Amino acid sequence: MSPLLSVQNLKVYFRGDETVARAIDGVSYEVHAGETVCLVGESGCGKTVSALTILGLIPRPPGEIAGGKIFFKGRSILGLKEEEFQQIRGKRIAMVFQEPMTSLNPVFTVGDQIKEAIMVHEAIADRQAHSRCVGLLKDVGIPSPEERLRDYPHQLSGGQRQRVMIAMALACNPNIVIADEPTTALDVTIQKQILNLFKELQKARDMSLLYITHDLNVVREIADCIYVMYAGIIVEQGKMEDLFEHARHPYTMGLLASLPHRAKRGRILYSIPGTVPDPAYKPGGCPFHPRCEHAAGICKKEFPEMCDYGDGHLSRCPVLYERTNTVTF
Amino acid sequence: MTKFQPHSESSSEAPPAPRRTQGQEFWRLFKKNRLALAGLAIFLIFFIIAVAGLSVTSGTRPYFDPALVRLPEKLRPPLSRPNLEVLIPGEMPPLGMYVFGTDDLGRDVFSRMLQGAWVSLTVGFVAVGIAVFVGILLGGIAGYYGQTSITINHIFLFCLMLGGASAFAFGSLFPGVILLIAAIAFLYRSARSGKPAKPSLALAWLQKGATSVDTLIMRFVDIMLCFPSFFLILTVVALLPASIYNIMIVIGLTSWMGTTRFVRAEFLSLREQDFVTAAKALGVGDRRIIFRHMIPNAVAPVLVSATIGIAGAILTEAGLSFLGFGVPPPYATWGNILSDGKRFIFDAPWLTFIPGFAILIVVLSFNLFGEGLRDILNPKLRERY
Amino acid sequence: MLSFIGRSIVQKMITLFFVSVISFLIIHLAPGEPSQVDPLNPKFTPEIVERFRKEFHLDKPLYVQYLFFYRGLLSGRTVSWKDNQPVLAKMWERFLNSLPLFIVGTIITWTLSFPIGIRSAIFRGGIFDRSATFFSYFLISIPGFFFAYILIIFVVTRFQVPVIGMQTFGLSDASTVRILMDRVWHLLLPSMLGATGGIAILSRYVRSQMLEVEGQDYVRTAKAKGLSWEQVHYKHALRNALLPFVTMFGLILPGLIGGSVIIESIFSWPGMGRMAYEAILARDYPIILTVNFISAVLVLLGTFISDVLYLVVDPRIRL
Repeated sequence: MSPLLSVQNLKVYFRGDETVARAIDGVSYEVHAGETVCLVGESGCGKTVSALTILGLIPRPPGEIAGGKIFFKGRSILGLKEEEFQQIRGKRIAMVFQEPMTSLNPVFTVGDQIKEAIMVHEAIADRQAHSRCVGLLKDVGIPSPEERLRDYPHQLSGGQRQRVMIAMALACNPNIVIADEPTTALDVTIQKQILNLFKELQKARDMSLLYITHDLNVVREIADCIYVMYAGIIVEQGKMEDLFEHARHPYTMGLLASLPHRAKRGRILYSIPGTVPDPAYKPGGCPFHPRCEHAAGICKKEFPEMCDYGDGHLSRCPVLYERTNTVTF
Repeated sequence: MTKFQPHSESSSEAPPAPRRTQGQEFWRLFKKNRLALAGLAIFLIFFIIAVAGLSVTSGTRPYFDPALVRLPEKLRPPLSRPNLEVLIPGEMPPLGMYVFGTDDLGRDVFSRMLQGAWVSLTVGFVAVGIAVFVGILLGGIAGYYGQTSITINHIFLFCLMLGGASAFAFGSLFPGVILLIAAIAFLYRSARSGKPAKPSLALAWLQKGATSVDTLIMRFVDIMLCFPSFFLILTVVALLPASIYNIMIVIGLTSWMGTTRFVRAEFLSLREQDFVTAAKALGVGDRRIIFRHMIPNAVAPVLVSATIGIAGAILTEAGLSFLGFGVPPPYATWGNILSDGKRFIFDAPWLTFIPGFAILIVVLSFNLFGEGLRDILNPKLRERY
Repeated sequence: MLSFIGRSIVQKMITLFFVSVISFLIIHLAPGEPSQVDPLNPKFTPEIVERFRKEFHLDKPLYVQYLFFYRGLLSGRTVSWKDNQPVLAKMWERFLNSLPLFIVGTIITWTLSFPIGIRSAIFRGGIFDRSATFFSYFLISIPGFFFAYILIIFVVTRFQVPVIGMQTFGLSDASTVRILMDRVWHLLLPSMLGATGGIAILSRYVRSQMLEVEGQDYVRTAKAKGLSWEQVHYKHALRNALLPFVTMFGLILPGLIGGSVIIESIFSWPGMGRMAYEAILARDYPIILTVNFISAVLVLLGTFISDVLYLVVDPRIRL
């Protein structure tokens, strides 16, 4: 079955005055129908940029798409004109952003903003759109939706605003919802609610979800597939259980080891040494090598290839691949 | 997994992210902004010309004499050679020609422009200096000590002193002295007792807060903003004896309100920041916090508005000179050269255009430089480009 | 809401009181005397000076003079010292002359600076933006009187139309169209000059407001919804960027009276600015003080109106 959305070797650069920040440097991933895919990585590794690129929302300049392809339902969408993109945004692919506090326009009512999302794509009467809005707010679990539609965003709590954002994303029954860290700005208890909401909605509507997060605990809750990103590249990908049980890349291992409940009591919690490199000054070879405890001489020189562990599990660490193979055979 | 080697030597051929000091970063961004760079260059040239102009046009026998009248040589166009037959040797223009022509009294416009440059420069700097000083002082007090309440006995004391001083000034010596002595006694008493442990009930209302320093200062700003500024400056300058210093002071004293407002805003937000709290927690004194931690942080926006303020002050002075107020003749300013020349606008257009363009270029350079500074110092704006 | 309005009015009354005191003090404590009572003025004998002093209450202490003056002003009985005309009537006449300048200038300012500022912000960094930026600095920096002369020379030599004054003398028996065109020509130049600074400043301000808003998350949300370019910029962004400008409707009020001293004296336009200038030259205290007082009233009224407007247009502010 061909994937609903497929990103192939995408490269997005940001040109500075003297430097080029390679925010995404050859990223490929696929989202199949009805599947939840997680993009995981530290902040600044290019997750959000890749999502914005899908919708054609990268500001150009300074951003530029340096290479790669994006297919949606088998159709290449990367070079589309602005008007053609507008047909896809919100209707086929919708997006939920990180900051519910600032992502809603403060001078329009919630109802206006959701209704607008429907009316721009569908020629329906105002009354019908209104009743759809009520239904949507009900779906996302907002009590007394009729009154809430007349509210301005500042009159709602953060969790409610994020629910409104989700309702807005669902307004035209999109095939894919891209959720860019939708729970990061919320309280822990609300985070759980919103996450559950996503799970329910995804099941009920049979839509695909591209979920971007840095929180592995969230990933464990909802993901079918995981792509781990580091410094603008995918370093490891695979099924959720596979990746959690048998991480094959030092970076994934490090992320997993730094989860609190995995560490033994009484031990100091692990953290990966060093910091994410500046996208304009990435180290040569494997970008992770300065922080990697398995780094060998070759890591500094050669860009690592993907190594296949079978069943869709790929990892970009030849050093560990060779080591496991010698042990196995 | 818990042990790891140091990675210092491992980043081999990777180009390290260059580390720049703040100054280098600033200069790098500044060089990019070509308009601002041009502004700075013109400003520096103007500065040199003004200083040089002062030294060659002042003194008893200046090299360029801006006041030397040569009536036969009036309204000569720029770059014209002097008519040697009508001039006595002491009246020769210094460069062998009238670089910018002569005016209706045959005075050398080039010398007058040189003299005027110094006037524009000092008016700009002194007026803005006064405005910035008052602005930082009042804004700083409002922002830092703003919540200190003014109690009724402060007001009482103030009234006593004001009454005493004015009575004194208007010639009624005796009541003035009495009031002043009362005020000093009052001050002495409250200073000695420090905080009165328990004022008697009858006097307790004296300690009640009536308003706060902040409210007082900001209301004063509101009051000052009610005056139509050019009209006010014009009134005061017209009423006071004509002198360049009066103009500087009046422009300065009518343009400090903006600085006060944003120094206060800056201080209010800085007060809440962690490094100030941390400094306080370490027992650092107020004065040190203000001068070491807060003023350096508030200085950037002040610098920007000061630069733009200089441009405004130069324009205001030119406007005043144009209307015939301000610097008394024969002293030349760019404004009054233009104002004198406007009668000959069709016969001798250089008398209008040379000072006009000089003012335009200098003011433009300050504005461009100031806006460039603002763009660079404002990180929020910087990201967006 | 009502309590806000009430508090605001009380506060503004207090401010107005202090403004009146300070302007009174500035005028009366400044060295020198009005020419009518100047003992050095050869036109008047000491007896006349004494009579003037009495009539103007100049022989009383300052606070009495203050009370006399503002009582007279508020009851409309204050007269100019120079020609004994009632101040308010005189100002009204001049005000009517200044009004067309003000209205045309304001219309020019607002209709030009908004499109310029919005376009600059949307296509920031482009040729239009950069030239608009430079041009607005140019307009801010050029001395008004110099610019006036350049324009006068240009218009007079190019189109051969007279521009000084409010109208050409001796045209009264010409056709209506001719008179109308004459008035328009006379009006256009000074109001354009009055507008230059405003256009430059306002368009920069519109641009920065618009830039600020364009960077906000909700603009990205609007794009992600699939809205068209126009809807994103002109509905979602502009609506937010416009909020501060609603308040500026109130702040243009003081411009009514300030006029421009310089522009009006260059064009010999008998407006408020010129009247104020002549009053200053003649030390006609009642007129100076009245101009000051009324402009303070207009400033306060303007801020009041803008505060109230803000309450109305911004849904986030509720009292």
